[in-house]
Amino acid sequence: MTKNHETATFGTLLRVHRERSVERRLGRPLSQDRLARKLSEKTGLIFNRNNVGNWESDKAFPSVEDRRTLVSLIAILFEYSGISTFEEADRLLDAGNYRSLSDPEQEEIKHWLIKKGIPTPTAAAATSSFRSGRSMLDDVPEAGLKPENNSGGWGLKSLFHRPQAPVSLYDSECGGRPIDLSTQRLQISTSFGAYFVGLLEKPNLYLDLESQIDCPASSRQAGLAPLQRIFWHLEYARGPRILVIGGEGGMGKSTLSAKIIRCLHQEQAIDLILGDSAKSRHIDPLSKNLVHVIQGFYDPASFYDRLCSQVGLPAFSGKDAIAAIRDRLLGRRAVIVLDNLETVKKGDEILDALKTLTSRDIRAIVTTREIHGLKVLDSKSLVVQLQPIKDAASVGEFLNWHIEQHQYQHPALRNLRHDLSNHIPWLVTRTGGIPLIMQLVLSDVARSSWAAVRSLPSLFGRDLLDFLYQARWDELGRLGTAGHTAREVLRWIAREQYHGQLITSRTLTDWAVSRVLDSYLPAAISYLFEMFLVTNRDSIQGNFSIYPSLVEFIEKQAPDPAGK
Amino acid sequence: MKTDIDWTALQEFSSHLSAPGVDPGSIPEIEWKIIAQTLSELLAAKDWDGVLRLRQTFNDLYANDSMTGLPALQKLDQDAISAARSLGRMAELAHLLGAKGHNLHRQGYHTQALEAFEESADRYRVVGNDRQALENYYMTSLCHRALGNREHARQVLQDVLEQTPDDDPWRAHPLQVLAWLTQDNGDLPTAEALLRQAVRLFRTLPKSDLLIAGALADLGEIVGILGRFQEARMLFEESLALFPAHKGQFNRQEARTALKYSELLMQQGQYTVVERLLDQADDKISRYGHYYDLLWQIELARAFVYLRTGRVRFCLSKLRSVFRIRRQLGLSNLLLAQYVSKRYLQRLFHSMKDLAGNGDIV
Repeated sequence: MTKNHETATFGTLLRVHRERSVERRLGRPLSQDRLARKLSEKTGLIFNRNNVGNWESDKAFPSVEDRRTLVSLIAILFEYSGISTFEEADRLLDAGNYRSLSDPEQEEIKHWLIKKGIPTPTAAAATSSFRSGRSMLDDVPEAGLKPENNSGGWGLKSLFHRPQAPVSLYDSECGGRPIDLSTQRLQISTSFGAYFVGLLEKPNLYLDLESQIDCPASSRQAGLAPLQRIFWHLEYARGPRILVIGGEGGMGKSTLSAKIIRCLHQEQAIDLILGDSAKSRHIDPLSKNLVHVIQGFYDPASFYDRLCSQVGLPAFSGKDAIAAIRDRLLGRRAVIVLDNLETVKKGDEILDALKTLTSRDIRAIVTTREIHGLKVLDSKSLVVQLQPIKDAASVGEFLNWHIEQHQYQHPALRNLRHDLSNHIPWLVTRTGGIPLIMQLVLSDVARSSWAAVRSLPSLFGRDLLDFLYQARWDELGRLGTAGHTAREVLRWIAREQYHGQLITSRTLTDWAVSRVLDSYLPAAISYLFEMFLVTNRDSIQGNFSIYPSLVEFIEKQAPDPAGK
Repeated sequence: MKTDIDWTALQEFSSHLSAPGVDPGSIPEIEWKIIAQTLSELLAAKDWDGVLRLRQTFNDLYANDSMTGLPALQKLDQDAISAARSLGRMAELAHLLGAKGHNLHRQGYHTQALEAFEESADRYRVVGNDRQALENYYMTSLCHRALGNREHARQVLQDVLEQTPDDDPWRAHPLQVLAWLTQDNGDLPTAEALLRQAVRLFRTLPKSDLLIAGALADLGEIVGILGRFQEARMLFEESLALFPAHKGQFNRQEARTALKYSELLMQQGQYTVVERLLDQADDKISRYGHYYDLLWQIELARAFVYLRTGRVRFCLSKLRSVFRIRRQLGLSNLLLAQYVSKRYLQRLFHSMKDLAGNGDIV
């Protein structure tokens, strides 16, 4: 089994190195935009994110004559730890048919790093990455990742040899930047809750995995990746106006819709985000408890009321409401989102209304767990089904992305990189390729071992997800006061998140102090990061959240006995 | 039954929400929920004093011009009025009714606003606060005018001016409304003179920059209709320059100036700028304030832009939108015709007169 890194293009490697670069202050990878700005500062030339994007997609290359740009690029990647050895730097240059770094160039980079107070690199791979202690190519799953010719090999070739020069309408980073919701924050948090607001405002939201999106392609879309096809449809004046995203819980429907909205916003294709999340529960204002109601509580009238209010209209009903909203939106560019269509009574009626409301400038995105049974889907609707991730290359890419995202809260994840590829087939078989379940199982592995998790019972889909949550919940129960504190923190986050609350480090600490649990809080938080993938989107102020499926699980748990 | 409310936290929240530079629309929903939660606790405990105190805590938000359409604020206002009634607190009731009248008028519910101002004035008279009674009586003139009762409105203003000393800068308020009525009658030079007098008086009042901004916008409109475009532009820009110091808190006022400015630019054929300006004005008033009275005016301006740029179908849609919103507000179509005459036909008439004066039209 040889690592075929000779086949990796300059763009692919540049992207991998950039994504490994970490802006420590923000705790996130270096963006294309940031890299371009750093490069401009260092060289005095003008670069923007499109330059970097084009290099990464191998559409353009730095000039072979322009050593200043190339050396600066590598120095910046060193500075942000995206490259850790001169060997890696030379490999990158080699992939673009550039000559290796000369001694003076290496000295220049060292001098730059010393000036920045950063340890200087050596040529030896053994002293490489600050994170894994391994070289970058070892970090990449030995991809493929289906056994080739049944030989059991997992060659890098298939990872690095994606279809050549895919057509791209939008920069792959489109939607990568968080939206500043500004004055729309109240409106969006009222309609969709804090979780969705977090998706719109979170950096590094999404990893584009082609195999996950099942999007029909027309003959005119040959060569377009599925996400690009969606953008094509949404941009095409006579294209479908309603995008329906279907998929089981944990598949990433809301994340994909947030990615699309962010991209449309970034491209200035929309300036209004409207819509609602169909809820199957509400808050009792007196008791402040969540009250569950029967499926179908949400109806078209609630949806129209919400839209009327969002576009500043007094309440209209039925067809009057649809006509009033349509006339109001004329001349504006907006996306109307309906989250959780499956919980709606008369979902077809809302889809019909959306057909009337949408236009060249007004598009709709609908998410649902159930697509079957929707009768009104036609040429005005584009149905995209989110599939489990099953091909090994995508799984490897996804798991590495997960490790990158969660490694600071759960450092043990880093140790999984080296033999990840050996376990991918088992992981896919056991989890059904559902992204959220794979992430949970991977966190179990980091806390125990692959051998330990192989004893998972034969459950699938939602049952397996509940089992994983339950096992963790029980484990917290065995971890003494810190474990019980962690349970209470989870209950509190679940409740506050549903209320739309921003959960900052300060509010969390205040809550713990009020319950005299503050001394157990650090350990409790650590458990939650490792076991429940609690995310903190703001490393400075704190912005904690949990997955909706976990909220549903927690709501079913009986309160802990008093005094625990 | 008394409740355990953290009033300090509520006061801090209110100060934050109504601080210049904070657009309340950027605050997520949950932070607002403290208002609804506190109110439901106070109501459950029948703590009417607490309800009044809660309403008072958020006084600034009601006085400002951005958020009053928010359901939580509307409910608190209504419950506070009921609490003041049941406790027999006349002065507080008068204040709350006056504030309610202002917000109803801004939203376009002029009949209900008129009732609120009249009751407020009566209550103030009962408790012996004649000045506040006069100020609320004055506000009825705005409602009468909006409902098409111009003579009644003029009568109210004359009463108010007679009862106000000549050296009282507050006269600027009735003079400004008198200028509107004069403009309604087509006497633009007199209207201009009245507005200039109002601006002069407003400038002598402390913390009056928003009043000045409003009057400058009115003046810009008249000067623009009279064909002095450069001067009108400067007046609008001076008006708009006063808002950043209050960013986020007086969105309706800002949108009002933007609307009038866009009408001037429309007259000059700058339709792209006009559309952008109207979108900005729309965003400022439609999300949280629900200032329907300004909303239909913005929709009407869009209809004219579409008409002048040959997008007839769009124009018809926007006209439908105007009629629909006005119907919900209970406003007559005759009043709409008067409004169109004042805002658009006057411009056309003066433009033609200017052209004729220049010998372009015989």
